[in-house]
Amino acid sequence: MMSLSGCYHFKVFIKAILVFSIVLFTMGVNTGLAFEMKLIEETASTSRLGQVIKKSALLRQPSYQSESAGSVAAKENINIQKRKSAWYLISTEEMAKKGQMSGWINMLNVRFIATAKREGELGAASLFSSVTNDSLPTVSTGVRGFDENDLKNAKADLKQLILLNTYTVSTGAAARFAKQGKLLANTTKVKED
Amino acid sequence: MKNLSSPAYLLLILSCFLFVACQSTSLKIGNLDVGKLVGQGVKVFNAHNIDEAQEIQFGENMSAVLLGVRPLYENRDINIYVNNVGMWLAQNSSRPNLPWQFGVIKSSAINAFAAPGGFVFITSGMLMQLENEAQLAAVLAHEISHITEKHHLNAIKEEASRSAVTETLFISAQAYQDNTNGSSKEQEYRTWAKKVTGMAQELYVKGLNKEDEFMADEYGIRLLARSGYDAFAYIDNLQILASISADDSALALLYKTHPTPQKRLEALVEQVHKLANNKGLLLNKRFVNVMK
Repeated sequence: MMSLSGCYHFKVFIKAILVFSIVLFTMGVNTGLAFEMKLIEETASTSRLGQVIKKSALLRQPSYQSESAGSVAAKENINIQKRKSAWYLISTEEMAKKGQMSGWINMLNVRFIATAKREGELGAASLFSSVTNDSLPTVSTGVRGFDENDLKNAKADLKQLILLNTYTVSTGAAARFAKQGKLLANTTKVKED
Repeated sequence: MKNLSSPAYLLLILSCFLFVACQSTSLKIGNLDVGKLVGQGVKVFNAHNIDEAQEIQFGENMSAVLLGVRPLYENRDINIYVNNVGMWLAQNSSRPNLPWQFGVIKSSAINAFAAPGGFVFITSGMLMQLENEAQLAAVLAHEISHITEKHHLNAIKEEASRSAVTETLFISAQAYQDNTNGSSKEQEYRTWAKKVTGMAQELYVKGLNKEDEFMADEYGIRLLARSGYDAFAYIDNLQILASISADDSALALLYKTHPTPQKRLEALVEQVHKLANNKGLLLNKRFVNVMK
């Protein structure tokens, strides 16, 4: 009997550990997800290739007051991991050789390396196509440009003006929209004194 | 007369000439007596005293031409979303009471336009380049700034002295629509349409002067910050534009009418420094949810 009872308790113990593990795992995943979502909200697009325009200070933190972590030479290729405020978190081959993982650089000292992404590869393009029957706003699907000759040959379209008017929103609706997005107006002056 | 400069003197003569011409022909469009309108104020023709109602009508006419080039993108949700973002920005601008209207133009070109009186357009090609709501707001904030600072009206004031501006530009498009059934009025309608289209070409092909574009960038990034958005999304946009090949036809008109993105970025160095503590939002998820 003792051994049977011991066996029973052992099974309960194992089950409890299993349940506890599942709970911990779920919490961990949720926490990780929440962290990731927060990161998405706070930082701009990740993993772009860029080049440094001029020799730039590499900083430990995304701030003008940050301690220096070295510098990046002009024309050095960089991998942009994310943006926080006006700073990019970057890594380079040179940094890797020195065992330096990453550092922050002023975003204005960087240019993106050109990529041909606009023909339906961007998120918005594929998203457009996924839910509407409308054609994609790309050259390949026949949506046209808007150039000098088009303007010269244009005729005023008054029906489109009426359609435009149906999309207008009230100031109250815009305020609710802002509140929903947690947008807070502040005292930044548009025109400086 | 000695105090009058030559351009002012010429303008006066030209205005008097047009005043007399319109009075004598009694040009009427719909219920509007253009001759009388001109008679009420050569100031209208001079474009130096355009009131808000005239500004809105002028913007409506310019918008009709822009929408005549390419129509609106046929997705109500996206257009209303753009209106919500734009109206929120406009409420934080110096001219919140204009009848602001925003629209997505269906075109592969990468561009955005403003017309006086509160009309703002972004092409679907430009929208495709964006990744979050703050970037959309950045595009709209630039255009809103052109309107609040009356850059287009200032441009036509300059044009007025070269005689391309006529009073018909300030008459509602609706007045002409009302006349399309009358064959006797067709010639007048064609004249109006030609004038309106001509002015739209003048404004949107030639573009504004570079100083106005730099000013719209400076005010635009600050309006973005003031409205609670991540101000540096403005820089994101310019860097994205700079990364697209300059000879891409989608950018042809934008490049013709604006300084290069690199020059615009250089001009914003001071603002980026001043706004370093900005903690605004990007709103990626809301943007993606609307676009899908």
